[in-house]
Amino acid sequence: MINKSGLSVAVLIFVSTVFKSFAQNTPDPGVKGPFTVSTGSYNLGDLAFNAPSFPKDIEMRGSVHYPSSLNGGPFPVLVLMHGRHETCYKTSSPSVTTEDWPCISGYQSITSFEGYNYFATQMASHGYIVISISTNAINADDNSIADRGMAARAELMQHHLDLWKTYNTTGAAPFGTLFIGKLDMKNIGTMGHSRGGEGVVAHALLNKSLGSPYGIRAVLALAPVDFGRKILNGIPFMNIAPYCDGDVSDIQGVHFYDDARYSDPLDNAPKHSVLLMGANHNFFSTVWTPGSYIAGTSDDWDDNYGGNDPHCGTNSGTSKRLTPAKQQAAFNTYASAFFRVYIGNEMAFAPILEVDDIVPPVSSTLGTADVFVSYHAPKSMRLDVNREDSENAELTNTLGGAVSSSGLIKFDICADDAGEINCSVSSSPDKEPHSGYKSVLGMSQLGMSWDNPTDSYENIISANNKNFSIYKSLQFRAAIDFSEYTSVSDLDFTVQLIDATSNVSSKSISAYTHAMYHPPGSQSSELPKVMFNTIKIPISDFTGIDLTQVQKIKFLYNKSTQGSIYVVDLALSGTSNVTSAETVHTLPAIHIYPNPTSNVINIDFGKNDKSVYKFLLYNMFGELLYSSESISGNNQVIDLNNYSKGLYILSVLNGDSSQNYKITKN
Amino acid sequence: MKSFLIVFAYLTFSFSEFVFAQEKIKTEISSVEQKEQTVEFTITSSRPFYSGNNIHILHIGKKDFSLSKQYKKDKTGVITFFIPLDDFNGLTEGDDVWMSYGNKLRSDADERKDIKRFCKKNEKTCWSLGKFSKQVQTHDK
Repeated sequence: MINKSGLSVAVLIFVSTVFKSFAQNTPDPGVKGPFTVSTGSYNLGDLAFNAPSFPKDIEMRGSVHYPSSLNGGPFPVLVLMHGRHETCYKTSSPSVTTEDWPCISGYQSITSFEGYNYFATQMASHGYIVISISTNAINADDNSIADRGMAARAELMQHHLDLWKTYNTTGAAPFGTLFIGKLDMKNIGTMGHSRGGEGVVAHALLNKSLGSPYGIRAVLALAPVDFGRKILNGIPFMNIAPYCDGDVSDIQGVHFYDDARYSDPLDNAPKHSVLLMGANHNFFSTVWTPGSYIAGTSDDWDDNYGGNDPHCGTNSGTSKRLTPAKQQAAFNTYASAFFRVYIGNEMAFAPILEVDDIVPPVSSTLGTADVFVSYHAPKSMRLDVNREDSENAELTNTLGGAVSSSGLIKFDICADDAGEINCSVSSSPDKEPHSGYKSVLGMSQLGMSWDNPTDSYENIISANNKNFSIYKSLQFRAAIDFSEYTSVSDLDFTVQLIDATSNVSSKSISAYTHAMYHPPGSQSSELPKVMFNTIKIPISDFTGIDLTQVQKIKFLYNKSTQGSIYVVDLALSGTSNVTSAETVHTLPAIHIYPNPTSNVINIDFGKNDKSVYKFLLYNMFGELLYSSESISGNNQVIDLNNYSKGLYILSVLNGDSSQNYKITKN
Repeated sequence: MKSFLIVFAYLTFSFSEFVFAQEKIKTEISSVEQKEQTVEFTITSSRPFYSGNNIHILHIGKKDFSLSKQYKKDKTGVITFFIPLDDFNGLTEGDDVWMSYGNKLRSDADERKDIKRFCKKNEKTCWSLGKFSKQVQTHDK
């Protein structure tokens, strides 16, 4: 029996544990910056651009937000692209809208490109030049084109960058010389909403195919479509998924993240996905939000699915829908974090994106149950234990270790092949966004159900990878299968690390996450949804075992009488696996010097067979800077003179083995 | 004078199924017309269709078509789907014809057995348009 004081101590310990895990320690990226902001606009005409991939001419129109004092610079650049929307409204009767382009007499254009002015203002206050471009002409005709106008969106964005290159070099009307030398065209982030989301991915791929004339350093897709299942590697990426999306209701943008994870063995770019509970499709844009613009606005969820859903419907007494102000604040905060990390190099905000700090920043106006983040660490900072990417993952993990289960009533990889493209959760694709549809594959995932507290799932760690102490975190993505676990209660279970002498360290995931929630909503074919979120546990929290000799990772389902979940991406992550290179490396019999360096690094292969080595140089954002397939001579020199001061990762590959080295440029 | 084919597809459906008591919304196939190697399959509704980022999909049996053009005429919604002639000729008589906004049902979904009922439950994103039956007539214009 616990006496009163004992109970108080127990409560205090519990609260302090929870507080420690959920404490918000990271600076807030959404607060206004020090710069006052000015705005401008340009309009070269409704039919000013003839895009190669589009049958009709396109407008060249946009806005710019920038620091009023353009002293110094060049400033980093963001380019924003809105999604598909009605294009014109009748001036005398704004409720009458059309999808024409150009607008006919008596009508004027809907300025969707102005819908993100609040975000442009925020980023400009931190020293960014933010351009937002109009795509009405594409929206008027894209449904009759096989790619839905995505190539045209990419070409249009590139054409705007060409125009801004002119503003940045010689200057031109309407800005004259204002922006000469002020834009850093090698440090650009792009954001696209909805069809604009796939558009910015298409643009990043186009820019790459052209030899990267512009430095696209980060791509954010906001509630995107992903009709073309494009795969973007090598550039930091973020998807933002609104749970109550009443337009792109299958939240198909999750595929950008899912598809790119393992598609390219050389991809070292981080990937993020942010799930915003209660958010709809349109409220991210003030131009699409009722009450904020004169024409063509709608609440997409209520308009398409009514207002009665207990989570997403605004008429239900239990509605968790975000107001437009809250939804825009949430976007403002998380998009700011993304661009300030990957464009602004403000690494202090990284814990928000990497699930190291799960408390939403104050500026987001959200609670911990309103937002969930997924994080796929760069390859150089990640060791995949079990990707759950094929039927074989039920038997053997990615490291080659054995996989087993005990007592589970379901233990099955699903959504991994054409015969099983989804996981039998629902007949509606809307409820299972990560899965495939028809012949298009989805994300392979491991389904597990239990009905006994001794049920478990284990991954044996292979001999070469037992030293967990060099990693920062253990992480995986998971979601509840609402079709089998029908209780509305959150789920909890235990993650155990077991060392070579059978010492066990156990952690309840509830101390680290709210992500094992029962997904809300009951709308006919749309809700609830299986949405994966990352759960991350610091390796250092697993005390009482030898972290250099970890034998197995075990999921023990001892916290509930029953449950059903899906799991993917079991991995170790963190920078600790990168060999500290303060002086000179001689591993594996390769000599890398000098380090730190101010200009070049030399790689001496000594007597090794140099032909078997390949090396890749990444910056800390995962961007591949240099790759070498063939090496001649015993010494290889990498010139860092053109790279800025900071940390770089040199990845040396020898067959299936690799070693990463941290290089410091002074 | 340019000559072209007009393809009439006679669809057997009960008109009353598309008149909802409260809103009196009427949605129907208004024309099926061949232009060279494409069949233009047009659906009209007394309420404009949602204009957003997802796609309207025309389902005829297990075949899906989504290349389209959307219009508004006053308060009427119009969507024309563009179907390759070969695909159109391969369609099966008696199959269900329905339209959805987005991917609403997996191909093996039980709900497909009674698509009218499914669409009635999801009336803003699903439209049941009867059974497909085609006869072809050729006209000179």
